[in-house]
Amino acid sequence: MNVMDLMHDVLVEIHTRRARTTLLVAAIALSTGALVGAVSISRMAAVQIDTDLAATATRTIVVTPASQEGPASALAVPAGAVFPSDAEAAVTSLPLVEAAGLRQDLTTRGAAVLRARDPVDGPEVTGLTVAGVSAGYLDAVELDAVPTAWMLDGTDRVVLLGAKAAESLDVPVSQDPTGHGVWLNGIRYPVVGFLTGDPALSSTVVVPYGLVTQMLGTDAGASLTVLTAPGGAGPVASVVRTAVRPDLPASLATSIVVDAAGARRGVATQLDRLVAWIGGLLLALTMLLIANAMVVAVMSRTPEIGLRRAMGASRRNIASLVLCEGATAGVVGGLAGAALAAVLVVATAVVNGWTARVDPVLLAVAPVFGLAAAALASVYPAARAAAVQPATAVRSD
Amino acid sequence: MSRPALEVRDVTKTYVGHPPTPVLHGVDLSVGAGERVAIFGSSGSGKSTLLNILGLLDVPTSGAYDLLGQDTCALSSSTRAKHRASALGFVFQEHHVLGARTVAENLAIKLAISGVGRRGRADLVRDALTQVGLTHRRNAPGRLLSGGEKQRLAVARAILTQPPVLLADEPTGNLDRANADNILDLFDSQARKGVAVVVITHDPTTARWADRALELDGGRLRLGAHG
Repeated sequence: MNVMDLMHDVLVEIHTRRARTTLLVAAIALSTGALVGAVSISRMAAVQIDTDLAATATRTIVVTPASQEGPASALAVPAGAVFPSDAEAAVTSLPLVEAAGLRQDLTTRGAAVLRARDPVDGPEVTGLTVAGVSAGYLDAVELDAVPTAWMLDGTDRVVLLGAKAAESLDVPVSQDPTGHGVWLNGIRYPVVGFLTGDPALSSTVVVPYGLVTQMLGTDAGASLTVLTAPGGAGPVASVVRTAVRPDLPASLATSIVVDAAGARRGVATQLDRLVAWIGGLLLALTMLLIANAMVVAVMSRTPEIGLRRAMGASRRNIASLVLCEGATAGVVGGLAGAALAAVLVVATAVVNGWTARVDPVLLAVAPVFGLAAAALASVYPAARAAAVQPATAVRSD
Repeated sequence: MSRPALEVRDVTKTYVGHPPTPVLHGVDLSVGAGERVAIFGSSGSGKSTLLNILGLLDVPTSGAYDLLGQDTCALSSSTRAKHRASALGFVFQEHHVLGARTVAENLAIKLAISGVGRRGRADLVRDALTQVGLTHRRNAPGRLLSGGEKQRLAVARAILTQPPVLLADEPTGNLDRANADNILDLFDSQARKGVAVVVITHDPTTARWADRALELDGGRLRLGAHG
């Protein structure tokens, strides 16, 4: 029996048993539509939740002097007057605090002339930020661990470079920066590491916080960044000023930084898992429905299958017939399911006031899913059909 | 003497079970080309079992069965299917016409299974329908045919590929005399073409029609009173 004959047979059978085929296609359409719809709606909900969370999820607090009025007044504030030397330790000892670190930018507080090579006559490199930070600051901004970060807690003249800063200063980013240096205000600073994990620090030349404070003679422009556990920003913010300056908490101000990226990732992961579970269950349900319908169809066609076998059809011919019937119904059901899913998604979006998002890839996959699920579910019915004994099937008594 | 179209030698058949059911006991039968053989017997005598063995739908428990000179007992399932498609024509008592398919489609299925190309099918279908007198019903759905027409369609399907052996199980059992005679005439025409015809029957008229009538009694085959 060639392929043309097989497909002709399949189409005639599908046409002949319209009621059964309609039910089968409807089952596949419902299951496929529910699957694609559930996935689409979950994704849509994820985007919506993500958007909502972006406005609320916070983990970072920034503590600054209550009033930063500019370089003139700042110079009147001696170093350590705003953030005592034990400020970081005091904050990190608070519950829910994961990391804390100080930062003061040299660029905004005074002249910081950067040169790549010649200390005096070389071209000045502009557009970079020179920031003094402590090692704890890198943890507080969730930067990947840098082996030489500990040097930021001293006052040695060393720098760590962000990716763009390194490029601007002609320093190749490598595991071992030995021998490379940059000229800051005419003094050579050896490069001891690179900060490549955080785009926010890409254009930054990082030097030890203590060194910058020393150079400026004040910490009036410093800030303390605090990273808390999820949900900890509010409680920590209410006590952090007292922890840093028990004597004068009012001299400090706190602000909570919106950083929803972590929460977004968490929600997306959970929703993906939910979708996977829903998808798996619907897949099982779909295949069960198809297999059930096909088995019933095979049983009702036992005399016909027996006749075909008696006329010379091989077991393989019979199995192919059933498999192709299932697969054809699967493709048609998948197409119908895709259409159903699109309607479902748009309707859900309209009802909830969301922005409708229909993934064309998902819709395109639906017929393939229908085909695969139906073909797989038809394996057992096909095996049953192939096992029909012609002698028994054509008996008249 | 020419080779018989089919020949069974000392064939037995016992259905497995508790207890086992012996149905055929040492059956010998040889049917030549163009010969008409009728096998009759009471219900449960093993007629259908013998026909199933002759039609390669079942295998004997012991003994030998040569179809067109080839031993069939050791053949694989797929090879037996191929022989059924090419060497054998079946007519069942319950004609097994596919009611939703047209008369022509009922025949085309057989041709597709037998591997006949699409181009050659129309001529074969027309010839067969002409032989059984159903040309005018070519496009009628099987379910709309009368009992006699359905049986003639079953005969057309059996002779469609011009097999050398035609097997029929109670082909006239559900028909009136006129339709029964019609079917036997069709068998006659096949026999004249050299087809070996074996008919299982309860009908004495059909038994008398045959060249040889054999009675199957208690699983043993012997020359019948009608022969």
